[in-house]
Parts: sequence; structure tokens; C-alpha cells
Amino acid sequence: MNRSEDATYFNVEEMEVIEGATVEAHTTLRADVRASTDEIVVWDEFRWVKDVDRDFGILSTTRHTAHDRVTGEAVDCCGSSVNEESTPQSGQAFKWPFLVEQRDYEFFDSTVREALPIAFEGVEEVDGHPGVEAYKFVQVVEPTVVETREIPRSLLGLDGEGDVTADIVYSNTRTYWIDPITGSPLDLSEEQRRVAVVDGEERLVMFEATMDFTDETVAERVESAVDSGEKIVLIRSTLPVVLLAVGGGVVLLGLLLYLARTRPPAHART
Amino acid sequence: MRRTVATVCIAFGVFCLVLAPLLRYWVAETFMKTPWTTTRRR
Repeated sequence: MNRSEDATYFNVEEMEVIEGATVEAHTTLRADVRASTDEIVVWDEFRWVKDVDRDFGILSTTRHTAHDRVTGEAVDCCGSSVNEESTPQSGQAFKWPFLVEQRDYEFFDSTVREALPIAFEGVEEVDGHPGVEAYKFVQVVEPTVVETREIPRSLLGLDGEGDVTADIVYSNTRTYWIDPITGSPLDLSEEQRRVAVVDGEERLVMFEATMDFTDETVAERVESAVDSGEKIVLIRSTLPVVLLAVGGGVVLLGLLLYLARTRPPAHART
Repeated sequence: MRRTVATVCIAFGVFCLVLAPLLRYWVAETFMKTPWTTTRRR
């Protein structure tokens, strides 16, 4: 769950801009088991953002995405869609590959419906979890028109009566902290902004908030990633090294025993 | 007796040497896949 304690948004019910709101974003992921295979997994995502105090739904998004089970990259198949509209997807979908590399990736933004670069910006400790290191990736989504909407002129401070067509411009700076072994997001911060623009001039803030994973969400993700990561390191590194050492030693011991057995007794050599 | 122990040691050692790369390149690869049977909220 993501949360912001100081969000600004336009409440269409009350027809006014609400400031300083506590806003939460909830995401539900459900596997489409029938569409998933050994190679790809298909997830249905439902994400909704609401004002906690007013119990008011601000935004919601649905997404149907197939992604590679190893690389985490979106795969264009199985009726990929965003908000029920067919949308080819590419780039990292929900997570990074296992054994993440220290390089830039592309990450799919479901609002602009496009994969955009997400830059590797170093290794950092996860906030509140000493000793847990993560790879930090930052994606900047430049202001992009994502829809047009009819809005009363009076709301936008424009002269005259009736509605005017406004561009809804979306921008976002998304920072992910990724577990280097499992590729799972451990922490996320999004500085989202949606504004109504008329004739190139910003007239109304539709949504503005810095949405962060809550401490509980980060703790759950760290625990899960550490658990999976330890198993992967055990199977991929620790056990093979131990088996090579033990195997080599035991073979050597066996050969020595065999040679000692077959060597003629000392008195036979004289 | 010693020959039996030597044979067992060599067999076990070879087994370990074969198992090591199998674990690293086969079992680990199988393990490193996103599960698809889970439903979760975050």
C-alpha cells in the first residue's frame, strides 16, 4: 500500500480542490492461472486511490499484463490491456529480473502506456532496515497529455459560461528500491502530478501527491525478499561450493584408499 | 573392506561433483521464477 499524508486533488463530488488530504493507493494482484504458462505469468492488477478521511475514490486503474517469469519483462500476449483497452506492454512490468544488474532498465508506465527508461542510481540501504541493501532506480515521466476532459470554465477561473476542453497532463518521478537477488521492489516513492491545462496554461491541480510504500508494506516486502534471497543464495552458491569441496575431497580420499590397497606390501618389494 | 570404502568414497564424491552444477544451473533456474498461483494485495 502507498500512502501520502499531504495530497492535493480535485474532488468532483464537492467540485473543489482538497488540500492536505491523507490518500492511500491499494493494489490487488490476481494471477490469471489459465493464461499463465511455465514461461510467463499473467496478472490482473486493480489499483485504486482514495481519500481516507472522506472515503472518496479519486482514481482507479485496471491492468491485464503477461510477463516473463524469469526476466520480469512484459510480454505482448494474452489480451494485454490497461483500463479494459487493448495496450501492448513492454519493459519491466511489476518487478526486475532475478539477479538484477547495475544498469538502466525500461519500466512500463500504465498511465502514459509506454515503457520509459528507469536509471540505476546506486546501492542504498532500505529506509528503516539497516543492513538490507537495495538497488535504487529512478524514472522521470515528463509532463504528458494523457486525456482530455470537459471542465466548467468557472472552475478553471476562465471567463464565460459552459465547459472548456482541457488537457490532463500527467508527470511522475518514480523511485524504486529493488532487491538485488529476487528483483522484487522493496520500497517505492512516486511524486505524481496531474493538472488540467488550457491553451498551454496550467489551470487546475487534479492530483498531486508523493505516494510512498507504508512502513508495514516495506517490512513485509523486505521479509519476503530476504527469505527468498537466502534460499536462492543457498541453492545457487553455498550448496554447490560445499558439494564441490566435499566431492573433490571424498574422491581424493577414495583414490588414496584404493592406491594404498593395491600397493604391494613392503616385504614383497625387497 | 578398504576397497569397498574406496569405491563408496569415489562414487559419493562423483555424485557430489555432478550435483553441484545441477543445483546451480538447473534447480536454481527453476527456483528463480515468479510464482503464478498467488493472489496478493499490496
